[in-house]
Amino acid sequence: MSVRPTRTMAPEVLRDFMTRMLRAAGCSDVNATETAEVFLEADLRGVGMQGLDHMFAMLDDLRRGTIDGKGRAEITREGPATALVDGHRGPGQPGGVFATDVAIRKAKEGGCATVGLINGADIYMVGYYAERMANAGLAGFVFSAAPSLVHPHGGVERRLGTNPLAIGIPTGTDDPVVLDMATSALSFSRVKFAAYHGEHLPEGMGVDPEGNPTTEAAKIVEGAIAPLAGHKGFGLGLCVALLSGPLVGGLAGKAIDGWLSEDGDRGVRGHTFMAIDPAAFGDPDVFRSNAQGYIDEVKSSRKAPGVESIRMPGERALARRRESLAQGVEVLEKTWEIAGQYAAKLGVDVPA
Amino acid sequence: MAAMEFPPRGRPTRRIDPAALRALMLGLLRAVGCPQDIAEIAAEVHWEADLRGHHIQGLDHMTELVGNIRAGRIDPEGRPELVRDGPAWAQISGHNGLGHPAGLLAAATAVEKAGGAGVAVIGVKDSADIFLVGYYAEMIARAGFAAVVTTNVPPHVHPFGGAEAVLGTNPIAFAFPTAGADPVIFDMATSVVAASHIRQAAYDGSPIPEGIGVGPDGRPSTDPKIVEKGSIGSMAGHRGSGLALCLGLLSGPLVGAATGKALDSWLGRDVPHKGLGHFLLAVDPGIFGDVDTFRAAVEAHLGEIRGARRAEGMEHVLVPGDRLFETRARSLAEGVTMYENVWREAAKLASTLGVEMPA
Repeated sequence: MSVRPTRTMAPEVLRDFMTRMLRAAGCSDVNATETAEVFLEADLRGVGMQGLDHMFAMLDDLRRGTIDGKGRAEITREGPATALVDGHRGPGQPGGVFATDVAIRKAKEGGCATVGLINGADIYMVGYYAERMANAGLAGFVFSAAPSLVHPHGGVERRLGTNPLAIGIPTGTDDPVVLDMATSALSFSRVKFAAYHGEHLPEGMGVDPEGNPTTEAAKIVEGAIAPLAGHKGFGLGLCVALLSGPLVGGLAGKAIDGWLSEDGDRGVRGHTFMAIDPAAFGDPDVFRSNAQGYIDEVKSSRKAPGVESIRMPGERALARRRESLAQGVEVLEKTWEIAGQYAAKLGVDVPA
Repeated sequence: MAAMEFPPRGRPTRRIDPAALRALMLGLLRAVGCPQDIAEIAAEVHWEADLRGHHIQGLDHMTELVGNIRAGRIDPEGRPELVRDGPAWAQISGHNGLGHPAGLLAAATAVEKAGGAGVAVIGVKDSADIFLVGYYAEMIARAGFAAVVTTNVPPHVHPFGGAEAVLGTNPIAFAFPTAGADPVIFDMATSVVAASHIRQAAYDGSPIPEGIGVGPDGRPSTDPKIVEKGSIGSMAGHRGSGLALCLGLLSGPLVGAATGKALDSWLGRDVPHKGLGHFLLAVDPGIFGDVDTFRAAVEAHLGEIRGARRAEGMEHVLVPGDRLFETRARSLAEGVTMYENVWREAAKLASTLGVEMPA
């Protein structure tokens, strides 16, 4: 793998820069602040995934008016354990946080809750919302249908999104278990970052636009990413799409592919948030201690040769977050270069 | 080395009359003390598995199930009961009986609660295996709801980076109503292969491909009899491993059930009861919008996937469950396909219990 040049900056500098960019692109103050916060949280957890580098697509959508920088989410239908939230075409993260908090509130009242978010663009790092539910003491699920980049098992054409899912579970410590996974062989960020640097990916990660297997990341960006683990990731990705699109009144597949193009039709995207209160089933402290007991059992099990530690889902991301907060957040030079171009267009000062 | 097909195709099979197969399953369960109604419910699940060609959850599981009943780890007369509930959730105790009736009650409760509240989460504790997880998800989908069903399983799987069985194969199933008559059903183990494939390979001692399992010493092995004493890997490395862990936590500690080493395993650890837990979730699409629009959107997405350009050498692009009901109809009409080695194992069991095998 080639060396990927990076730079390190203070988290508050990056947050401030992203906030100013979003404001300059037409976001209200509150939307800019809340959106930048989730992008920053992504950058804190690992180089660029779902962070600054993903903001460019949003800036384009703000410019075109396909995302309304002033749109704020609101509940449009609700029951004791359910709610439908309309993002009113605002940026995804404030709507995602709003929907998450509705799910938390309702689950604390009624034991469990399912909240659908529509017209909420892309919510990006799904694990963030699941982690928020876990930090509130609840088990949380987040499902998100994305535009097509992935071919089905047995096919070679883009038909599914990278359709990620996240699960957050409280533990006996302050760090919850947070699984955040794409159902494609690689997340789009990983393919795109490899393409930035002209890299090759391992075999089996995708096909070129003609449907031929390739290891060239740049060709996979144009072609299609493979589903994770063949038919299993394909099935899982399909179910994520149905749970987060059609189930809550959104769309899936081609109907939302316009989000990937300059002027395509922005079909209604959907995201689903579920929260479950362990207190419904028993003493929540017993739950936490049993969960931790199991985690300890897995972590302390015999390791494969050369393996130093068995990591829990989210463990590395949270360790990286602490490191970034203490020592600065890392941003790819390539991402920074693109950010500079956007800043120039928007008339925003780039931090030194 | 070229990838070896696993489970291998072309294993010897025979055709069994569906009614005779069902009667055999029922007879085996009755012989170990299951009351008629419980035996019928359990036989139905395994019968459906074999009809659908999902042979790892069919007759082949009778030996293990009967063994657990005879060892007292499953109470053949134990009946599930709803122990606490709210408008959108319920906790069911399996009372250490067979898992199938507990799974069935949980699915029915999920349908009832989701019909009222729009969503329902049902936890089951003190249960035993429910086997075909997609069966319960299908029940929920046939009632018009989206379904997620998962269960913890005794440890057969090592975590990513590990070499010891601490995770279950923890399967998960999803099912959704469609615009057609049958729901779409997806059912997968979070391990690299289902543990039953290892058991079936061990019947004949046929080797399994590299990279699937390790022996009790943590070293890679292709001998199913050694891997049976060790562990198998997770699907897709750290992601499958993380998913298995989360599903184990949801269907274990969250719902008040045990998980991990507190469960027995194919290592033969003895536990007084199976102690398994299950997690079922149902969501009513009607709570968010128009049900017909939902069904049409599902169908449209399935249709565009089936219509994708095919990879070289592929005849179809199928969505999960596409072949399931065709296979089931064929099994009913032409007889159920049964692996010879599975049939042989069943004959041994039947002879121990004094149950007559069909001709």
